[in-house]
Amino acid sequence: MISEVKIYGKYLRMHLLSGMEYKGWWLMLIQVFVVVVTDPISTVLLFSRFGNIGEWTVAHIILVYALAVASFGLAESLCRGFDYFPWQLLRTGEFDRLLLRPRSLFVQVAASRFHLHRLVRPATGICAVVWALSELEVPLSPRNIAILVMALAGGCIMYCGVFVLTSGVAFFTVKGLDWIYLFTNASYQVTRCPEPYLPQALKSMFSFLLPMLFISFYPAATVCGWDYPAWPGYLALPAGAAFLGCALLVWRIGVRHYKSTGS
Amino acid sequence: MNWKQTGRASRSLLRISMAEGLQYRASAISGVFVSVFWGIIECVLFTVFYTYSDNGWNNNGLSLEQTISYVWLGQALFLFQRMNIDGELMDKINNGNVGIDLCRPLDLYTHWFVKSSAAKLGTSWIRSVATIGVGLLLPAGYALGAPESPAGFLCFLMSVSMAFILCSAYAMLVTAIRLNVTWGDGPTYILLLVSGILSGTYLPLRLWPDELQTFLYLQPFGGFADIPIQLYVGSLEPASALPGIGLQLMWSMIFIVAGRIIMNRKLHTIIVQGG
Amino acid sequence: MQIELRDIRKSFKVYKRPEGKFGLLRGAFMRNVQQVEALGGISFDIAAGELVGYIGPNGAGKSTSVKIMSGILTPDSGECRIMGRVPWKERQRHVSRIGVVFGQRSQLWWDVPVEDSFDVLKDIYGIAPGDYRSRLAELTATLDVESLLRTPVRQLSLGQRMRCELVAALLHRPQILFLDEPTIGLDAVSKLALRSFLKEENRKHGVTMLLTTHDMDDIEALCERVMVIGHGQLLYDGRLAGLQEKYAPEVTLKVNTDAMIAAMYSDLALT
Repeated sequence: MISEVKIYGKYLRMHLLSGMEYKGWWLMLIQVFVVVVTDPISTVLLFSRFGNIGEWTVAHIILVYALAVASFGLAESLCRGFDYFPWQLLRTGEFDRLLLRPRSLFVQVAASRFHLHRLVRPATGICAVVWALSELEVPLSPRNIAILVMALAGGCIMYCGVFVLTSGVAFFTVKGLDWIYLFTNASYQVTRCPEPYLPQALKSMFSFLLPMLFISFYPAATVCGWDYPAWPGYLALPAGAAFLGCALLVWRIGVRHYKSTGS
Repeated sequence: MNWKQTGRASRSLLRISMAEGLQYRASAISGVFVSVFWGIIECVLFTVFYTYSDNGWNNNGLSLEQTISYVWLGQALFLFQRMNIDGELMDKINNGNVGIDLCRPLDLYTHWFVKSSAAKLGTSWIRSVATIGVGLLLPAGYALGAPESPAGFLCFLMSVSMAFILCSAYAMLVTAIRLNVTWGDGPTYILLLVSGILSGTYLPLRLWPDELQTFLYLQPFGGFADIPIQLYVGSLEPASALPGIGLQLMWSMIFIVAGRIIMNRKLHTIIVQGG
Repeated sequence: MQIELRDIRKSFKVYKRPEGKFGLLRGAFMRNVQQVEALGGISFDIAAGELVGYIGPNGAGKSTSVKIMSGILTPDSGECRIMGRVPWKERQRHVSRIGVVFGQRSQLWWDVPVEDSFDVLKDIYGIAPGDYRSRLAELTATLDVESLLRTPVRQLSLGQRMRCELVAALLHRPQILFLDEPTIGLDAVSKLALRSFLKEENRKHGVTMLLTTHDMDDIEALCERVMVIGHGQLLYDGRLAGLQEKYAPEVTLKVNTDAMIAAMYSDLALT
């Protein structure tokens, strides 16, 4: 286990070194910054045109949304390789190489790509969470911080699960993989809608299929003391872990099905 | 450049990408799934804002029904904006295989223009048509409505074809810029993102702040989706179709000329990496 | 036996478009799925220290069987034991004892100096620092790559890169080395150098080698034993000389063209 962590670190170092070989890596920072800033723009504009929805102000929405985005960003930074897996590792046969190395495939794939600039997303997400909390006048008590950290960790685990699932399914079909978008970038868009107004079907889907609400809305509600039972706010970690577990299962079946390309 | 030859080449390129599009059934199905899902989330969101918000009346002449139609058409037209450069052409540049295309007896700009637009059309038409189909079939509150008037629909069709050319021309401009950048796809990514946002697919341009409206009308990216869709839902009168389409035409010309200049000027200085 | 294969079978699914005028459109709704048999029951044994050539036309199943033996692919049926292990079941332990060189793929990191790649491999294979240093010194000296260690891989020529690939594949002292077209695209001098290195490595360390190639000079120079595969079947397994007696008895004298070209290059001081 410890040596796997060391390998992960070695890989990251390698990526940083080769990243620096190219000019313009700092442009990537700007790129992600633009993404991050433009991501919630339509929500902000909608609020500025239409005003609040009952009790829901832009700060409420940003809190829930930023929690989701930050955990997505964390997972994306740590498991970037899985994100690339279907299109690059699998298609080019680079995966063969990983199979030939006496190390856990999970670590090798996760570390097969790393982009420092991806960290911009979780960083701004966390800043947005802090801003929203101060706007809502919620204190950063130890309990609240603990809940938020658990939410982020659980969310990160859940999104790692999404990436692992993507890669697992990619063993069977690469072209038919667009639906995974629902679980990645589309999934946190759902948090733009105030939860009480969300149709029941979407609520169930994002609680039980992908435990989205458990890592964003419920922790936020518990922290701010909204009119909801408090206990779902603590469930981020188990919910994320359960999702990752299922995803790993698919991944395993996928590896056994691997058809290497090229000759 | 030989027009007949170019025409023949485009035909076979279109055929091959259509074949590819049909081959990957699963891709089309899951694509439609995503578009429809995304559309539904947007519909829910707009319904909530129009119905429950404090200033629901402040919609700048775009009613809820029109907005919902806007969402569905936006999903369908968004596919025009999907760029193929992040796939094949980008790989070619990265691997130095761009040399192969330089050996073809076709002008590089024309070749890629035809190829990328054919790929775009070939792989996305099923998805667009199916998304619109689903939009029409949904229950009343979330369904794509009928066009405002027959004249409006006609203008919509013309404007859509123009939008396709405009999107292709823009894609080529971005590709040309990409060709000049040997370090990463950051700039091109930003360009695509900005154009996507300003095209209205994320939020109808009419719902942006009032003071930006003139700018939003004149900027090139509204022609990607906003102008045709507004003609369909009737928030733009058929009478204003001509200036709208004219605007699309003008920006297409500008993009094509700029793309050609950048590509040709730098073509002989490409640093082919690796290989 | 170090490598044992018993009746290994593997088939792939291939989708075919229906024929005819509307084949394109019909293909969207129905599919002809065909099972293509890549390996139809292959069995052989290889003893430790053997140097075996593995030949056959493109698509005959060479790569598939090498991939099965190296643990990349899981066969549909059959048994395979390599050093007593089933490759796809005990992947991690299996691959830490073998080395694989793909002529057309690199295992080095493209943008960093060669040395850094070796350093990561050291950790991946868990090679002890002292052993790593001595082994690296030995390999770089025999392959003459000391001067390349600080060059980024993307700036190496194919011949230089191939030598570095060999170092990378042999750093962890594998007992078996699979070589998939290692000489493809190399010039005559590099080929000869590569061959003599492989031969030496086999003699000195007793590394078992399985060499897949289309270059018969490789086989002739290196392998006593040849296996020929075609249509997923093992067609011939025996001495190279036996193959010659059977199919080309009248050929008695053959000029070694590689040696000739190499002599010319060195005569003209090209290298």
